[in-house]
Amino acid sequence: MSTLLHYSAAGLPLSFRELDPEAEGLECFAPFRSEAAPGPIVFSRDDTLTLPPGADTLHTFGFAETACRFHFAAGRYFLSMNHPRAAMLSAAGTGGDVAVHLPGEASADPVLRRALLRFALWWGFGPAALLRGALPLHASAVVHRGRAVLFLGESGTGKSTQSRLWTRFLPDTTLLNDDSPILRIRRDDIAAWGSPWSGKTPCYRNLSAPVAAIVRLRQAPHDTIRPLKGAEALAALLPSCPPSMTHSTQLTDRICDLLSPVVARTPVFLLACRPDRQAVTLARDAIFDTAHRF
Amino acid sequence: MKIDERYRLRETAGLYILLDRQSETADLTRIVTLNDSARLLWQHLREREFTEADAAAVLTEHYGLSPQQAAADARKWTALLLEHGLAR
Repeated sequence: MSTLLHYSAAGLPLSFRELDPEAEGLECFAPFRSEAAPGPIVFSRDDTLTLPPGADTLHTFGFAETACRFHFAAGRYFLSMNHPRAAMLSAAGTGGDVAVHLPGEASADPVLRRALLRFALWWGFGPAALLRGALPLHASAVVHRGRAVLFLGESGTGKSTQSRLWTRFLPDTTLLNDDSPILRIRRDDIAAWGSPWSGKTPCYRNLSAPVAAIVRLRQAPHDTIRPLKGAEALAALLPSCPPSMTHSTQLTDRICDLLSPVVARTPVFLLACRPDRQAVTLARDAIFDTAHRF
Repeated sequence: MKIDERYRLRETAGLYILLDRQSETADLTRIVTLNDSARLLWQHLREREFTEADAAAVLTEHYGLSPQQAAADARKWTALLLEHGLAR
């Protein structure tokens, strides 16, 4: 008899079986505890999980000095993470079943084990989330006067810095998430949610706000902002979608389907700027003073 | 020449775009969109060897262009494919 622990992310119920994220040191999950009825997304600990022979490797990448491989086999996605001081294997189906093979507590570096588990849960949430209209974006997000602004950009472009400047210089502005907010895309409504995944900033907020704008950042000596439409907007958004997912045809198709309404209904901007107060004012005015035009 | 199989045509946001299957080596902030005639050529000529004359024949057949106009347009399209590394 196993107990289920219930959480939610981006309004989607998440359950855990034989796996307690908070007991594993992932306190970032605490704000996401939920009394709601369980749904199809279930994370289970399964220490018998193995990679099926002949699995296709879709993508190889590094994370936390750990060699990671993204595979597809027997209708499921697999993530193998190998580090001499911790190794983990996860499997995720689009149906919502996510299995994680954890290394033994004694054999693994606890800090690394925690980091890998946090990543495995984010990764495992992806395929099921995409199928349910939830798109994790690599972004820093603020809520200004009840509406979310998401900042996108390559690592080191100043996403977090931009969010910090907004919360510092603008009234009624708070950080929503600093690494992986989740867009919930529905027919008439696109909202940004906080999530248990927020990079190095402990900002784990289980709340959402309608999206006012998505802003791609570029460092520049002078501050300029301009709206992006059509192909430019799409090109601004695609690189910030979960990178390993874009190596699967099925998941990429799903991402494209989700981005269509985002491009059609959400203002997207390119902000080229220095990290200063002028850039914040420029962007705020462009987004909030022209919002009625969209 | 032949269209590089790393690219896949996909409709999204009302646009026809080329998705790069090897996106870890690509600059993802650059995307290629195809207009109607470029898409028609792509759909007819992918997954096989073709020449400029093959492309011109597709344009003649579907748009009723004169041989001269079709040849000129086909030359432009194949030059763009090569220039952007979409075919070789």
